[in-house]
Amino acid sequence: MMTPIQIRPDEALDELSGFQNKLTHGVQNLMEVGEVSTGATPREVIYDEDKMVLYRFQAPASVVQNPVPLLIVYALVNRPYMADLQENRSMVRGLLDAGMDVYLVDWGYPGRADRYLTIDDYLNGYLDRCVDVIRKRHRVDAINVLGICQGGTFSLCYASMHPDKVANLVTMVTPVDFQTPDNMLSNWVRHVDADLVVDTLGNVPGEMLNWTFLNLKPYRLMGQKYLDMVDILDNPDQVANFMRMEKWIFDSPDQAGETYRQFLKDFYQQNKLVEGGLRIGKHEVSLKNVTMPVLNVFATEDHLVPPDSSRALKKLVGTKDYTEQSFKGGHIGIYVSGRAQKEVPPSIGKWIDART
Amino acid sequence: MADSGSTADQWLEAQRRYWDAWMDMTRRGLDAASPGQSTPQNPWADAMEQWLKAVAPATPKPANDLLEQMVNVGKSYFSMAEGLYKGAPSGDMPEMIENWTKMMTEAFQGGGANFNPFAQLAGKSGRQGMAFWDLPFDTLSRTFSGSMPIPGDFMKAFETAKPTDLREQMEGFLSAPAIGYGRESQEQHQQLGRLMLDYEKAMSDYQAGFAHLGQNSLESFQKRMQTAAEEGKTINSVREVFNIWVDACEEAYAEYAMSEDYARRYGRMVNALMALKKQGTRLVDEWLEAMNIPTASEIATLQRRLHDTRSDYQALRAQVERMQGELDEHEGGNGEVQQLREELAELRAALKKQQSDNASSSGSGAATDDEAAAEKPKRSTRRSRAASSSASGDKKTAATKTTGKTTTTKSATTKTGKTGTTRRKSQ
Repeated sequence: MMTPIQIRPDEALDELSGFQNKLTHGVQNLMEVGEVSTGATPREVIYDEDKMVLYRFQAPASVVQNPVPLLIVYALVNRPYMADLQENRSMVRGLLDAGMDVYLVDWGYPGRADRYLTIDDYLNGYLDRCVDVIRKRHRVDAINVLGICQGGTFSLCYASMHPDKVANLVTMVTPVDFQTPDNMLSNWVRHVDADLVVDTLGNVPGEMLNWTFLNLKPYRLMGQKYLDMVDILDNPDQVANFMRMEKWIFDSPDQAGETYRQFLKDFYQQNKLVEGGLRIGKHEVSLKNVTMPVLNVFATEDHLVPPDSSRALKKLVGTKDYTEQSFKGGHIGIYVSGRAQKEVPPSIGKWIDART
Repeated sequence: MADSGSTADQWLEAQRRYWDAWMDMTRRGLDAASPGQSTPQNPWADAMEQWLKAVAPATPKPANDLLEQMVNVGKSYFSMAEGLYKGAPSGDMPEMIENWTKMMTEAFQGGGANFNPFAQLAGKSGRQGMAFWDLPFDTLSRTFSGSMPIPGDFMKAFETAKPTDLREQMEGFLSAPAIGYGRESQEQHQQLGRLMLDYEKAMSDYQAGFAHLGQNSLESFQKRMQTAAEEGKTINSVREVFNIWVDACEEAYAEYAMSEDYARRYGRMVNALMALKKQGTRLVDEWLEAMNIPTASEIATLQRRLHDTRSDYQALRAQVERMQGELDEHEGGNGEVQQLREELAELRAALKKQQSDNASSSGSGAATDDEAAAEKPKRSTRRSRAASSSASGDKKTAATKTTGKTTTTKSATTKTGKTGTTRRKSQ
C-alpha cells in the first residue's frame, strides 16, 4: 500500500520535542489557574423552593426590552451555568443584548431525600410555580420559554399541559424522537431494567451519567481532547477557559430516582413523546397541544442529541407557526462557541420579537 | 511547586538525551543496537512519569487531574511515534506503516490490549477501564468484608485469566442446602454469592465484547490511509497520524456501541450489578435492624411519606389560593351590590322628595296621580339603566361589564386554575 505519511525522523523529533516543551513550561499556567469561576452576568433570586432557584438576569440599561419575559429551562443532568459560562461565552448575555428579559430555573442538586421527586413535581410543581411568579410580576397571561436539551423536552411537555401560559416556545438541542437509528444513548438503555436501577440506587449518581456521556466518544473526550489542550497551555486565558469547561462537564448532579425512572422508561425506552400515551401527573401529554409558535434550534454535529431526534418535532407539534434553525456545531458548541454567540441568541431574539 | 524550574530542566535534559538515542535508533534501527545495550521499552514515558511525580504534589487538585490526563494521552502519542519508527529502521515510509500495522494486528490478535498504544487513552481495554462499574462493587465488598462468610475481596480471584475452577467451586458451595437456625440468613448470603458470580460473568462478557475492537480500528485506519493515498493527500506530522487513528478508533467503537450485541451485554452488566447491590442492601438492612438502627428501606418509606405529604400540601395550597381568588371576586361582587343598594336608596329618597314636593304643590286630591308619578320614574330609571349599559365610562356600566367579565374569567379559572394571579393583580 502506498502511504500518504511523509514524516522525516527529524521532523517527528521536532514535533514531539515541541510538545514536551509546551507541556513542561505550560504546567505553570495550569497551576496558576486557581479557583475556576463560572457565571458572568449579574442576577437576582426571584423565587426559591426547596433546592430550586429562579433567577432573573440584569439587563443592560441601554437595551429596549421585549415586554414578555423569557424563561430558560435547563436540563436536570448538568448545571445551567453553561448558558452563562463566562463574559464572552454567555448565551444569557446574548439574549439580554437581544432585548430579552431573561429568567432561568436552576434545579439544584437533588439529595437523597429528593429521590421521590417525579417529572410531575418538576413540571407541574416547581416549573409551573416559577411561570406563575413571572406572569404575576409582569402582569402577563403567558411568557416565552426557552428549553435546552432535556429542559427542551420538559418545556415541550409543559407547553402541552399549559398552552395558555406559554406565548412562544424555543427548543434548543432538544431530544424529541428518542429512538432515531443514530441515538447511541437510546441503544444502550434498551435492556437496562430502569426499575431495578432506581429501586437499588434511589437517586442515580451523576458520576454514572458522566461515565455514560464520556463513553459516547471515549477516544475524543477522554484522550484526544487532553492532547489538544497541551497546544494551548502557554495561553493562561485559554487554559482558564478549558478548566471552566472541564468543571462544567464533571459537575453532574445526581438524578432524582423517580424522575430518572420515568424519563428512561417513557422517553428513551418507549418513546412516548412520539408514540403517544405519555402521562405526567394528571395530564395526558400530546405535542398536538403545543399550539403556540415554536422555534426549534438544533446542532448538526450533536453527538448527544442527534439532529433527527430534534427535527422529529416538526411533524408532531400542533402549531402552524413552526421554525427550524440549524447550527453547524456540536451539543456544547451551540452555547459557547464564538460563532454561536454571534448567531444563536440574536436569531432567537429576532424570532421572539417578531411574535410579540 | 518546590523546585519547578530545576525539575523542568532536569526533565528536559533527560529528554534531550533520550532524543539523541532516539535519533540514533531511527538511523541504525533498534534491532541493530549492540548486544547488551540496555534500551528501555519506553524511556520517554518513564521520564514523563518521573516528572509527573515531581510536579504533582505541588499542583492543585483540578490541575493535577488534568496534568495526569495530558501525560497519559501524551504517552500514547509518543508511543505511536516510537512504534512507527521502530517498525522501519530503514526509515522507508511504506515499510514503516506496513510494519506498524502488522505489529498492531499481531498484538490485537494475540489479545494483547497492552500493545495498543491507545489502550490507556480511553480506558477501553482491561479491567481498569471499567473502574466506574466496579466502584459500587468495591464499596459493597468492603461493607461486607466484616459481616459475611465470603471474604470481601474474594472476587479478585475471578479477575485472573482462568477463573473457571474457582467459579465451579463457588457454585458448588452456593448450591449447598441451608439448614438449622440460621437457614434464612444462609440462603440470603448464598443468593448474594450467586449474584456476585452473575455480575462477574456479565462484566467479563461485557469486556469480551470489545475484543475485536482493536482489529476493527486498525482496518478503519488502513482504509483511511488508503483513501488519503488515493486522493493524493500527504500527512506530515505524527499528530495528524494520531488524529486519524483516533477517528478510526471512534468509528469502530461507535459501530459496535450501536449494535444489539453491545446493548445486550451492557444491559446484562448493569442489571447484574444492580441486582447484586440490591441484595447487599437487603442484607445490610437486616443487620442494621438486628441492632435497632434505622434501615435504608425504613428511611425510604419515610422519604416517600414526606414526599406525598408535601405533594398534598402543595395541592392544598394551590386550592386555597384559587379559593382566595374566588373569594376576592365574590367580595368584589358584594361591593357592587352594596353600591347598587345605595344608589337605589338615593333614588328612593329623591322620589320621595319629589312626591312630597308634588303633594305640597297640588294638594291632597292628587293621591292617584302620585302613585302614577311614582311608577313613571321607576320605569324611566330601568330604561335609562338599560340604555346606559352600552355607554362607556358610566360607573354602573363598568360594574355590569366587570361582573360579566368576572363570570367568564371565573369559569376559566375553575377550568384551568391559571388566570387567577394575573386577574387578581389587575384588580
